[in-house]
Amino acid sequence: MRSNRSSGVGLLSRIARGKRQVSADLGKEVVLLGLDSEEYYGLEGVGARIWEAIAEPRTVEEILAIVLDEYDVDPGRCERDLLALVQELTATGLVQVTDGADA
Amino acid sequence: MGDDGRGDHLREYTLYGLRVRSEVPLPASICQRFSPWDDHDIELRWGERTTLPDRPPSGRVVAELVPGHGRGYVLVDAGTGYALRFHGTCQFWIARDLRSVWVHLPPEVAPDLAALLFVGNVLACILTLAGEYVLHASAVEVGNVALAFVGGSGMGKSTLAALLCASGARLIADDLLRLQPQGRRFLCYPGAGEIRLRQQAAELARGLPALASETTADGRVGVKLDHPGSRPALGAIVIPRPSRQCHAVRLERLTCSSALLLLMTHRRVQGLRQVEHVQAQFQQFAHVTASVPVFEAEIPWGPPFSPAIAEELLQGVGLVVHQTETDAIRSRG
Repeated sequence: MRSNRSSGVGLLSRIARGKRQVSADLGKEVVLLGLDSEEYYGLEGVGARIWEAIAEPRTVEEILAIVLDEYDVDPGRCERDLLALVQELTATGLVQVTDGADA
Repeated sequence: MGDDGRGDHLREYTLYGLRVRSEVPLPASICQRFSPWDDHDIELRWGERTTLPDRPPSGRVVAELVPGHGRGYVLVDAGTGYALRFHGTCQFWIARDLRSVWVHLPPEVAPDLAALLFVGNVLACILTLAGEYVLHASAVEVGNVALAFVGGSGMGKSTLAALLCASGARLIADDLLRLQPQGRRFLCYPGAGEIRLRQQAAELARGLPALASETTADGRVGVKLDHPGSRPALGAIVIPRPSRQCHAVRLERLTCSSALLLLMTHRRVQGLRQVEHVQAQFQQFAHVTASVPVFEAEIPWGPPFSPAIAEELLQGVGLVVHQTETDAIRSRG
């Protein structure tokens, strides 16, 4: 199982939207604002779908399954990109790891 | 009557769709003697004159702004109500139900400054706390449609509104615009009926169909103008970028996300701390930008200000007014 050791985020990590963020669905794009960082973040396509999926806490593995089911993407690349995105969003506080960090 | 208007009778004003009953004389052009049987939305009263303590009001900070220049403010949720402190100036106490407000002035502060703060920052805070749609904007009515100029302090909102009014438009609001969502439309509530111009734009006051003009408590030229009685629908938003280098108006229509970010950058109530209020604003602005075209405009800046700016803006945003309609607007003023 691949994981990102530097951020502690792996496939078994359960993640959710951060508490100090707000978001708006603009149709083709979701715009996020971190209240502490005061930074904006735009998500389109698969990224926006991932954001929608974590309206409820889910493991990264569950999110990966959703994306592979709905999009025609290479599984290995999808996993790498997903972990990288989650790591980035976690670092900015837009996403938080709730429990089950990479066992 | 004392020098601060204490002892005055209560007067009733209509501001941003709110009926305000006030013992503080307000710089608002729609003013009637108070009828005691009338209902009202907000009542403003003088509180005791008091020296403001150095320590901030105690409670949960809702919003705080400490600018590099100027004194800033803090809005605190104190449980039974809200304390809105303008550092070094005065403090407003707002009841929990947002319907009663008291202003506490230190002895050395001029009362008309409190009135100016009330019709601007205080009402903006109250409307925001109430979850209403509020833009940091000046707006005019052109041919039954509203054009709003959104921006921070010094970005030219009032100047552009004055330029449009000099060309036949009617002032809706200056520096604060309350919107009422109605499906995919947004109706614009009329404000105080006064536009406040900085000294460098004061020349524009001569071209306005003014009912009266005076120097305001913050050193600007306040020009009272006729009001539209209705609530015109918002047709477009322009975010100005004044420029002394360009020679003609250049407009660019923004994507929804770019427009959303700029509306958030230029919020009327800056420094909101609580997630629920920021989330509400974010959703409101997303709603607006999904329905109303938002433009960024580079605008040749003065003084002197070219009268061609008004027409170029209207054409650029697609609010072209035919000559006969312009004449009708002019004759109305």
